[in-house]
Amino acid sequence: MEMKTKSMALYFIIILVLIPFDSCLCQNANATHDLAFGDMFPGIPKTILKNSPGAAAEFTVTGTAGAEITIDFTLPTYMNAGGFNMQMVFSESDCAMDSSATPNQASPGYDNLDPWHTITYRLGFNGLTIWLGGKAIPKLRQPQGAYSATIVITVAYTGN
Amino acid sequence: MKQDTTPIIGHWIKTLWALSAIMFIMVSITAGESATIRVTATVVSPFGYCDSGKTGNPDQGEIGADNKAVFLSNNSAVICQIDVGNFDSKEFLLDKYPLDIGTDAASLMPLDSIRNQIEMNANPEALSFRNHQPVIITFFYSEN
Repeated sequence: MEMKTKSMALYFIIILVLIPFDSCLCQNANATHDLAFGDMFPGIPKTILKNSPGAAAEFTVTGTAGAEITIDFTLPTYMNAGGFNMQMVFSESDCAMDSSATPNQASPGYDNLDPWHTITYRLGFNGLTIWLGGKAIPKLRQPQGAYSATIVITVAYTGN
Repeated sequence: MKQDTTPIIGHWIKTLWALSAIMFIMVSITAGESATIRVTATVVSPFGYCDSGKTGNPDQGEIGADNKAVFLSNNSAVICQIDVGNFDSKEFLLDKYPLDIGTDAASLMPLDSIRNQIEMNANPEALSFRNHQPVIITFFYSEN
C-alpha cells in the first residue's frame, strides 16, 4: 500500500514536470516572405533593407509567452543558377524584430541585430516577427538567370 | 522467507518509462523548430553595348571612329553599366572617368549622375555617349 502511494506521488510529480514542457512544444517558426532582390544587373550590387516591405525576408515565431528562445540563422554566401554563383553578404545589422500586436517593420522594437550570431529573446503574448535584409553582388560578367538560395531559421527554447 | 520483488520492478519500469518521456520532450525542445525561405534574384541580360574597342555602327551601340556612340531605344527606362578597362571600382570611375552625355556637348557629369539620369529617363529615344577613355557601356532594361 505504501509503495502504491509513493508511485502515485511520483506520477503526479512527473505530470507536473511534463505539463510546462508539453506547452513549450507549441513553438512555431513560419516563413512568411522570401528575400526577393528582383531584377539585377551584372556588376551592380543590390541591397534589400530589412525594413523593405515585400522585399525583406519575414518570419513569424509563436510560442509560450514568457519563455526564452534562441534564434539562429543559417545564411547562404552565394545564390546559384545553373552552376553559376552570385555572392551574397549579410551584415551584422541586417536583422530586426518586433513583438507588438501590429508589428512595425519601419520602426521595429529590436533593430540592427546580427543574424550571424544567436539571438536570445523572451517571447511575449504577441509572438515575434523577424525581418532580414541582405546584399547581392553580381560580377561584371554575371551570367543571366534566376538565382536562388535558402535561408534557414531555427528557433529553440532555452528552458529559462 | 523469500520476498516478492515484482512490485518494485514494476515501479522502476514505470519510472524509467516516465523519465524516457521527459528526455524525449527535452530533446525535442533542444532541437528547436526550423523554417526555410528562399532568396531569389533575376540577373537580366543586356540589350546593347557601347564598346570603344570596336569601330563601326553607332546605331548599334558601338562607338564609332568619332569616339561617339548613339544607342536607339524605344523601350522603357534603361540603365547603363560602365566598365572602364580592368577597373571595377565605382569610386575610381567616378573620380577619373567622367563622360559627356548628349550629342551637343553637355557638361561633364560623374558616372553615377549619368547612371541616375538614365535610370530616371522614362522613355529615352536616343542615348549618346562620348567617351574620353577606353570604355564599355552596357545597357539594360530597368525595373521600372
